[in-house]
Amino acid sequence: MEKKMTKKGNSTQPNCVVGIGASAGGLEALQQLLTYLPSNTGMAFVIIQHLAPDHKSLLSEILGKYTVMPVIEAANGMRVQKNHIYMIPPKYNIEIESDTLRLQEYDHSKINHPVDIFFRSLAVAYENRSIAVILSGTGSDGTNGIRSIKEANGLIIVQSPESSKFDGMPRNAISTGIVDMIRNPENIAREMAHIASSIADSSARMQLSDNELMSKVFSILKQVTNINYQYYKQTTILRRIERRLVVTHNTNLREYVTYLSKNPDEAKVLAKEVLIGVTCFFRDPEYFDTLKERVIKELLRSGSKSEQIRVWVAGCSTGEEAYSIAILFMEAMEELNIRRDIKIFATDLDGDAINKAGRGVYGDNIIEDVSVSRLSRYFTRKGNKYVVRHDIRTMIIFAQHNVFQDPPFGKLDLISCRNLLIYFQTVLQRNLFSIFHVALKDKGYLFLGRSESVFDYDDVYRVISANEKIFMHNASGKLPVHEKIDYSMQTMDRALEPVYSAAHELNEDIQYKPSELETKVFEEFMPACALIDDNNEVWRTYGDISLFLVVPVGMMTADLYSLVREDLKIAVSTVVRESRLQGKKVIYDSIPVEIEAGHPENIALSASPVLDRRGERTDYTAVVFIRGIRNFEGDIRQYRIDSAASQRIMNLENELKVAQENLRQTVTELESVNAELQAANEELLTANEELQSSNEELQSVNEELYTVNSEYQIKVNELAAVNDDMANFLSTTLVGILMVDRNLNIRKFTEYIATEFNIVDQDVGRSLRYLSFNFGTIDMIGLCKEVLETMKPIEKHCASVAGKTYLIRIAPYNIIEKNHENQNLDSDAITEQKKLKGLVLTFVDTTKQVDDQQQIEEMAKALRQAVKSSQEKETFLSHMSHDMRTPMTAILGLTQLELAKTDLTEDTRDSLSKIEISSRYLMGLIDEILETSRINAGKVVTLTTTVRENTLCKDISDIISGQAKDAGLEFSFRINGSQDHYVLMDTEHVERILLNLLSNAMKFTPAHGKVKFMVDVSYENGQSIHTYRIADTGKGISPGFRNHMFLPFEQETNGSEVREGTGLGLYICRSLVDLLGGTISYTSEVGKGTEFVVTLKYDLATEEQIRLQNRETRNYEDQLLYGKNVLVAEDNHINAEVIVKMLNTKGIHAELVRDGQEVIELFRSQGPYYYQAILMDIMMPVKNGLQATREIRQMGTADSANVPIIGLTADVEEETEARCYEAGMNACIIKPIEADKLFSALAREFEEKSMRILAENSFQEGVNDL
Amino acid sequence: MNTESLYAGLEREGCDVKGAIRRMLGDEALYLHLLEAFYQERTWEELQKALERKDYEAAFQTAHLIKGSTATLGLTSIYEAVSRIVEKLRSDSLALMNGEISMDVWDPDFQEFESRIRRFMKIYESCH
Repeated sequence: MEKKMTKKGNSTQPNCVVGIGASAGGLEALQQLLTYLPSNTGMAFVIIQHLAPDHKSLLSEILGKYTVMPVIEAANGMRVQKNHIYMIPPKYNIEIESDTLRLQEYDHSKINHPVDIFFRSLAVAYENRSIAVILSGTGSDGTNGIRSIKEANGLIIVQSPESSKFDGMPRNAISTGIVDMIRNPENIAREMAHIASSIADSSARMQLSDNELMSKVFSILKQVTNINYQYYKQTTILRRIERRLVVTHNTNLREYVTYLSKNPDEAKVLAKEVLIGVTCFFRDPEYFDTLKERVIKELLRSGSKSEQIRVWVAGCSTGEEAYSIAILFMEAMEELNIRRDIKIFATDLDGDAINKAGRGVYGDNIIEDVSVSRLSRYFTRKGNKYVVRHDIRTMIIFAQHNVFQDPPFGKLDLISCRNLLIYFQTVLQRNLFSIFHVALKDKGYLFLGRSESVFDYDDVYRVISANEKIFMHNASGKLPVHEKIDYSMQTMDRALEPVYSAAHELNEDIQYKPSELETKVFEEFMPACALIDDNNEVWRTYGDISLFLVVPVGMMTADLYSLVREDLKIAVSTVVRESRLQGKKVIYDSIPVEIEAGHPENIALSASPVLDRRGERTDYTAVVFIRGIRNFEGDIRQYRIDSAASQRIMNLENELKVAQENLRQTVTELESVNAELQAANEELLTANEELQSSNEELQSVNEELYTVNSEYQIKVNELAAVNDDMANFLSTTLVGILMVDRNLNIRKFTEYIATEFNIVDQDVGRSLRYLSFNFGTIDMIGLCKEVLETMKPIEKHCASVAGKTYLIRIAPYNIIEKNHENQNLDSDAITEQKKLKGLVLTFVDTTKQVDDQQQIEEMAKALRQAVKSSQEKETFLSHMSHDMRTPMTAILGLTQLELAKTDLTEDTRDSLSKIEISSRYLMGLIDEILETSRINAGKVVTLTTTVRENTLCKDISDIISGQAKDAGLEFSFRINGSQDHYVLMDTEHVERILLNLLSNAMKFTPAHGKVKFMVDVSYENGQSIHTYRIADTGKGISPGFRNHMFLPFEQETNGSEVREGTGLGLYICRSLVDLLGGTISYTSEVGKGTEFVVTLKYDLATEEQIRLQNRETRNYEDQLLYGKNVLVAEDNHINAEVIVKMLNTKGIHAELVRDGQEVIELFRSQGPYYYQAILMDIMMPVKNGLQATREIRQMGTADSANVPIIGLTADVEEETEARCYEAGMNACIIKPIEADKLFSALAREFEEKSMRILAENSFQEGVNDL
Repeated sequence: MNTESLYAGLEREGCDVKGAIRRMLGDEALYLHLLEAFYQERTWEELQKALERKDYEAAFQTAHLIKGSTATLGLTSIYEAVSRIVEKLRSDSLALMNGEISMDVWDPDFQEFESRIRRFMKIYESCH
């Protein structure tokens, strides 16, 4: 038990293995079983189903649907895992070895019992953790297997025959009487769950067993069965109790004891379980062979022929062992040709078992244990049962007998006591041996079971064959002394008849009974007399009857006529008959008899009916033979044999002789007929035998067919479901489908098409040709034929007469066949061949699509035209504006020039001023138009820069507040909720929008009015959301204008009032807001004011962007310096390092050289514009800075003339500086170099240089313009 | 390196350590690195040798070099001394080359220069 506990630690190892045997009708039972079977029992399940050998089993697939446990077809060497189900594959037998499954192909020529085979291996491998389940099926497979399971103390569950489709297997199993549970499949599954949990804590439960409880169990058992189990092996009893705990659903021993005391039936079952003998014919065949050779033949040879051989089979159970020994004796006698009287006493405690044994009827499962020759010689077949033959049966006497309580048999030649000792504790075993010691003859044999021995009795029992457990008894041997159990006679079921033995009488006083004495006296004086019954059988004789009655030769009989002397036969018969006829005493006198040879005498015969006390006639008649002196009264007749009578007798005797002759002849004839019949019978028997075997074959084929059939049934159901799905799908889809065969006969159509084309169910089978389709535009039949020929689908749009449009698709209907015939060596040995079976026509109603399509096309056309005209307009506007701008610039410039003159008259100046104002207005107008056209043309793009979000608003409010003051307006500005983050903002366009709206507000607000600018800032998802509100107390927007206020060139006019402006402001505003992905809205009330709300979202700037921005804006100088390439010529490396360090801090890339020559070479080799400046030490070896500068300036490359060269010198004299400039340097810095000076000098140079380039470029452009 | 006593010692000599470090944009490590380089190179020895072999061209070059370095390193005392040597060599270069006048290690300006160098080395080494 401990060992098994440790095994449980392994996670995948099952705690027990369940073998499930099933055959015909098993599929259904398995489905039910698996449906209710929990998936976490920790057990492994192996299903052994009789399968057709040549048929691929779908079983695992089918069963897989009923359980979540994996259902696996077993393979050789597969390890069983818990919560898995293994299926036997077809053609194989399956066995289990520890936790590995073994497969073996079975022999089809023999009848195969795969369930038995598996159960036996399961019993060996898993012992008391094995569970056998037998489900529906015919035959007896599994019945032998469960015996092994029982012996290993495993559990056996059988499907109840009522719930089984075929009850052969369950009934056979139940008939063994060792089945633990009989349930329907659903309950088997429930029991499994219970067993799984019980097995898990079985050991814990058994530890609870204490002596007190056990003794209670014993006392209950004793009460119920009269058998004291106290000295039976505790482990055996505990194991049985453990099993019963599981079966009766008790959780511990205490509960079970209570249950036991309340249910006497359970006590009986338990007692029977303890007693249960699992036995079979010739168990351990080699043992029996040895027994036959060394014991039985020896017994037959020795001793006198007339002496009876006495054998005792103790614990015979259901008699198999006793019959086996009887058969061995019979065989041995035949082989040795010795005839001996054999008496076998077979006893067992279990009355039921004895009854069964006495019947001598066994199931056909015994064919596994009994060889065919023995079967045919010693058994008679009746149906599927085998009956022990009469001559064997008569050798055995079966009796219920308790070896310890009932007196043993004596003078035995052989005791076979197999597998009985193992149930007993040593005390009982010793007792049994002493009983055998008494019972056995000297040199008698003792035959024990495989695991039993005589231990310390070797003085009494000498080993004959140690292996086969055969011992010879030595009567003179001494038994070791040991305690004996008291025989308790009180426990006997039946009271013993008092027995009077001679010894008993002697002890008493001599007391004769009166009747005894009377009889003695009567016999002394009475004539010879015989009392006979109606059958002429002698009941009692009195007197010296020996003179008249003679014991005949041959069969012993009580028949008076057979016993009486020959010469008295007729007389006696006559007198008896007379007496019976008359019902009174009849006496015949003078009957001649020759009692003593040579002395004839006459005797008298008297027959009288015997009356009882009341004078009634009894069956008895008294016949009295009287010799000598007679003194009769009553009806006395002279007996005379006259000649006539003699003659008659003679004739009768002759007739009798003839009749006897006839009879003999008839008998002979009958005998020969009988022999013929016997032969015929033999033939019939053989034929029957053959029929039987073919019947069995048919049976197995039938079972296989049944399995296959149920599998197909399931497939058919699935197909039906799929068919239903398909039908539903087809009927609900709004696509008309019409299937036709090769001759264009309609095969199938969907409901949809039926409503459209007037096809009814009767049209199926009719040709398409006879149907009128409402398609004038296409030749449907022609198209169909084309598809049939080309095998290529065709699609056509077609309008029906009803005005609907359809998309008709005609496609071939192919059957795909896998062709295995062309098994050439070609690569495509298996080709898929399409076989044309007909056509599929699909009709899709496209009426709506066609209409829609047309509409879309029209709209697209209109759109294209609109876009084109709009573009033309834009181009026109843009050109016009540009053309107008040039002369306007001239006008404005000239006017300004004129105005600058001082010698102008007031009128002229006034006119010129007006011209200037008008021109500016016109310029503004043109600019706005240009801007609008650029926006429309998509030429305006947003350009964001990283700025602090408040800066722009503050700047704008600064501008506006000044203007408002001038206009006499009250202006207020505030920002709410801003954290002044850096954001990415298109400042130019935002400024434009806000300024536009603000200037509008000011424009439409009369003096002393108010203009408010409010900005609400919030943050969400990395964005800053700005809501700008521009409110005024102006005149408001008239409702009439609101509809088109955002359209270009719209301006609110108020009668004669003329406003300046183009009417493009709001339009541009809205366009820009759209461009920036924002919204603009307004609220307005005429006379009170207007509020515009603009909402824009800005992404928050990243750290990187902020840093970049800071560098860009921190310092203009830094901006100029950043990223430049500067060549540094300095021979003093200390100074050089300092310079490089300085340059690097400003993001300037510095390259260092040591003398003037190197400067020249590097400058030349790097090419034009590589260096933006050169820092040149004056005092350098090889070539000084001044010389180098001169040479660079004269180099003649693109930038050699104007690359900034800054001299570095430690000399403070002005003369040195002058020499620097003279040499062509742009600046000169005095050492020690101050960073500021260096940077500003460089920045200055860079700025000048860029200006210079710009100037040159513009100069160049100017030249080009000319 | 005991920088504090080094700076203090140099400043007592009239050197402008702080100014030099400021010029190096506050990079004290760079300053110390360059100071070590100046100490290790011992350019003054070259100057002495040049003067000894009357190679005035080389002497001028070297003196100019020392002048630049000391200016940058703010070793004002040495700078002042070497500046006088530079000027003497520059202004009298033709005369020197022609052998009209002589300039040697016994020149008082060079003597002064040497003594200041020695004091610098002493301070530098004592703080090392």
